[in-house]
Amino acid sequence: MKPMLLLGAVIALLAALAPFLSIYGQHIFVLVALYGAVALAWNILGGMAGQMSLGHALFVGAGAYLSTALYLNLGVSPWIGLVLAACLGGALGALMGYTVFRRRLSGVYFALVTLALAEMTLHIVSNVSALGAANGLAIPARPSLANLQFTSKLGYCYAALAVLTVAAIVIIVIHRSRLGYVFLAIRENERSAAALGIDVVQGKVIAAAISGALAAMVGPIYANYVLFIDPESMFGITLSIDALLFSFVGGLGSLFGPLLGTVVLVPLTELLRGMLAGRLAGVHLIVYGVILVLVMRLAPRGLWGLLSDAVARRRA
Amino acid sequence: MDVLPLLPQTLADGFLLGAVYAIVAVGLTLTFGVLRIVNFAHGDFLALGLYLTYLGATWLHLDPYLSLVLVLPLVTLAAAFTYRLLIAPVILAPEHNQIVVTLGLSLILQNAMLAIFTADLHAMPSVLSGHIVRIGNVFIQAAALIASAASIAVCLGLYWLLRSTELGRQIRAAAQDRDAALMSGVNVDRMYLIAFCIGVGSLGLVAPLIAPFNYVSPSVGSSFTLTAFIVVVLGSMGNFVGALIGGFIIGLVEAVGGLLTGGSINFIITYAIFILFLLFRPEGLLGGRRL
Amino acid sequence: MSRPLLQVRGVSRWFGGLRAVDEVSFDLESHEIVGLIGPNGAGKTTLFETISGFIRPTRGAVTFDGSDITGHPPHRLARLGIGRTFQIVQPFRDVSVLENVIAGVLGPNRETSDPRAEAMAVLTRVRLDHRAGLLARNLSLPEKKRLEIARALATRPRLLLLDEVMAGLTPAEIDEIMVILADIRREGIALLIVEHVMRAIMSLSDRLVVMANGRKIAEGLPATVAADPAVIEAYLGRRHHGAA
Repeated sequence: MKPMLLLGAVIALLAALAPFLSIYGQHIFVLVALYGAVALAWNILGGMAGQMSLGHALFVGAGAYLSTALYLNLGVSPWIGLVLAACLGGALGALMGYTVFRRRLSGVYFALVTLALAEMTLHIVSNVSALGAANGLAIPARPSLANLQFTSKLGYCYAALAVLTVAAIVIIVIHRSRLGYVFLAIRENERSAAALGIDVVQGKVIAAAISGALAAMVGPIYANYVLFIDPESMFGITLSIDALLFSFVGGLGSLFGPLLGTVVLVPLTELLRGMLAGRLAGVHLIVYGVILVLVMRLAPRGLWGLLSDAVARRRA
Repeated sequence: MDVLPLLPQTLADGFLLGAVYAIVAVGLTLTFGVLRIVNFAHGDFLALGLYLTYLGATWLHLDPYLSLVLVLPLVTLAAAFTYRLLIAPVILAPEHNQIVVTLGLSLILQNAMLAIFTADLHAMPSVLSGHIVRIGNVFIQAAALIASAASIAVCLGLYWLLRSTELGRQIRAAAQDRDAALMSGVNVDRMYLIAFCIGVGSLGLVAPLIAPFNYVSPSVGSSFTLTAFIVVVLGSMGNFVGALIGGFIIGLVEAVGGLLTGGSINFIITYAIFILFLLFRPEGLLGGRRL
Repeated sequence: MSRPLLQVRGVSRWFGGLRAVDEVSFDLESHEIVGLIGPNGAGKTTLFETISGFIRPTRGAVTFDGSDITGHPPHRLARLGIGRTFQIVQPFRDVSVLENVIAGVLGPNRETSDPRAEAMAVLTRVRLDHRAGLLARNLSLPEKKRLEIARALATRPRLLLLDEVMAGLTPAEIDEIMVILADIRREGIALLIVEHVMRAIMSLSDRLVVMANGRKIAEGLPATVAADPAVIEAYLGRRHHGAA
C-alpha cells in the first residue's frame, strides 16, 4: 500500500505545483515528466528484467508517428492516437521480444539488435514521403482538448504528468505481483529462474511489450507539445541513450530511480545549455558521459541506491 | 538498364569501401570477437586518430602518412588508459557494465571532439591526394588502394599473430578460459591489456591511412562503430579473415545499393542484413563460436 | 502397485564423439532418497541436466509420475513438481532471503493465498527464518546453501534434485544439511542427490546409483554398492572427495 500512497502524494504535489511555475519552469516540467516516463518504461525491460535496450527511441518514435500521421491524414483524435500508440508499442515490443529472446542471445546481441532496429527505422522513415521523410511532420496549432493541444503550457504539464503517472502505477502493480518476481529472477539468474518454474522467454517478451507500450505513449504527447516531429529527434540514438542514462544514474532496476535520474539530469542539461549559450555544443553530453562513467564505477546502484543506503545507515 | 556501365566503378568503390570497413572492424574482431569486451567507443578512437592526423597536418605540416608515426602510439596510449581506467575494473562484471561504461566514453570522446573542433568537416590533403589510378574505365584513388592493401595486410597479420605466435597463443588462452590460463601461468590481465591495445591501437594505424580520402567529423565515430559491429558479426566473431570478407560484403552492398536505389536505402539494407544475421545466424558466415 | 515417480530409460547424451551419458536407466520411487555417485567426469552432472530439463538427451526417455518429460524445459518440470538446486549457489543477491523464497513460491504460477506466509514456513523448515530480512548476499556459504534448498522447496516439489549441496561445507554444516534433508524426506518428498561427500550420501540414501565413464556400473543398497568390485575399481587411484 505504501508506494501507491506515496505516489499519489507526489503526483498531487506536482499537480498543485505546476500552475505556480514560470513558463520556462513549466517547460522543464513537461520535459522531465515525458523523459521520466520514457526512462521508467525503459527500466522495466532494462533494469527490472535485465535486458538492455539501446533503441528505445523506436517505441517513442513509433507512437509519435502513428498518432501524428493518423491525425494529419485521417483526422483521428490524438487521444485515440495515444491508445493506438500504446497498442503499437506493445505489439512491437512483443514481436521484437519474441523474435530475439527465443534465440537466447546474450545481452550485447540484444542491445545491438535494438540499436540496429532503431537506426533502420530512422532511415526507413526518412525515405517515406508520406511520413514527411527527412523533413518531418509539422502539426498545425489548433489548441483544443480534442486535439490534445493546449493554449498554455499548463495543459501539457498535466498531460505529461498523466502519462508519467500511468507508467508509475504500472511499475508499482508489477512490483507487487508475481510478474515483479519473474523479472527479478530473470535479471538475476535465468537458470535459477527456470528451475523455479518461470518461463524466461515469456517473461522477457512481456517485459518488452509493457516497456514498449509505455514508451510509445510518450510519443503523441511530445508530438503535440512540440508540434513537430522528424526522424532524427524521434528515432535518434540520443533519445535511446537518454533513457538508459537517466535510469542508470537514478538507479537501475529500482522502482523510481529512473525518475530521480531524470529530475536531476534534465534540469542540469537545460542549465548547462543556458550557461554556455550554445557556444560549446554538446558539452552537456560530455557531462552525461562523465556522470555515466562515475556512476558505473563509484555508485553502481545510482542515486536511488545512495539514498537507500543513507536511509539504512540512519536506521541502524 | 542504364546502371550497367556504372557497375564496374561501383564495384571498385564498394571494394575499397569494404576494405576500409574491414580494417576498422578487425580491431573490434580482436577486442569483441576474441576478448568479448564490448566497446561502444571503438569508432571514436578512429575519430580521435583522424583528428590527431588533422592536427599533425595543420600544426606540424605533416603529411598523414608521416604523422602515422605519432598517431599510432598516441592512440595506442589512449587505448591503454581506457583499458586500465574503464575496462579492467569491470571485466568480470555483468556485460551491461561494459556497455554503459564504453557508451559513456563514447559520449565524452565524441562531444569533446565536437567542442574542440566544432562540427565542421575537415579534409586532410596528402602527397597522394588527387592521384588517381586508372584501370580500364574504373578510377581508383591511389590512397584508397594503399589503404586497401594495408587492410588485407592487417587482417592477415592479426590472423597470423593470434594463430602462430606465442603472444597470440597466450591471448587466446586468456580469452577462452581465464581460470585455466591463470593456472598455467599466463598473465591474463596483461594479455587483455596488450590485446586491447592492439585492437584499438590499430585504429591509430587506420586513421592516417584513410585520412587522405576521408573527411573527419566528430560523428564519424558512431557510424563506424555500428558498421564495425555489423562486420564482426557477419564475419563471425574472432575471425580475422571473416572481418575482411564481412567488410567487403558490407562495402559492396552499400555501394551497389546506393547505385540501385539512391537515398539512404543502402543503410537500411545493411541494418536489415545485420538484424537477420543476429536473429538467424549469429555465428556469422564462417560459423564457429557465437554469443 | 505404485509406479515409480521417476523413470530414467536408456538416457544417452553425446557431445560430438564423446558419450557423456551412455544408456543409463534407473527408477526412483516416491519417498525414496537415491544417491548418484561416481568419480569425476562420470557424467553425473550431465545426467542431472537432462533429467532437470536443461539439456536434451540424445536418446532415451525420462518419465515423471507416468508422463513423458523427455526434453521438456525446466520451467515446465518445476510446475510438474521437480525442483532442483545448483552446485554453485547463486541466490538473488540484492533482495532479502524472504523475497528469494517468495520468488520460488510464485515461480510455478500456482494459486497461493499468502506467498509471504508460505515463504516464511519454508524458511522455518530449513532453519533460516531468523535471517528472513537479510539481504541474500550477506549470508554465509552454509546459509546460502540452505536458501538454495528453501527456494526449491518453495515450488512445492514432489521430487527434489540436489546438485552437490554439501560441497565446501564443514562437517558440522554437513550434519545440519543432513537433518534438513531427513525432514524433507519425512514430508514425503523424494530426493535424487549428486554428492561427493561419501559419508553423507551413504547414510542418507536408500539406494545408490553409481556411474563411471557415462555408464551405470552399479545400483543397490549403499552397503552392497560399497562392496561392489566394479565400484571400487572405478574409484581406485582417484581421491575420495570430502570423505569426512
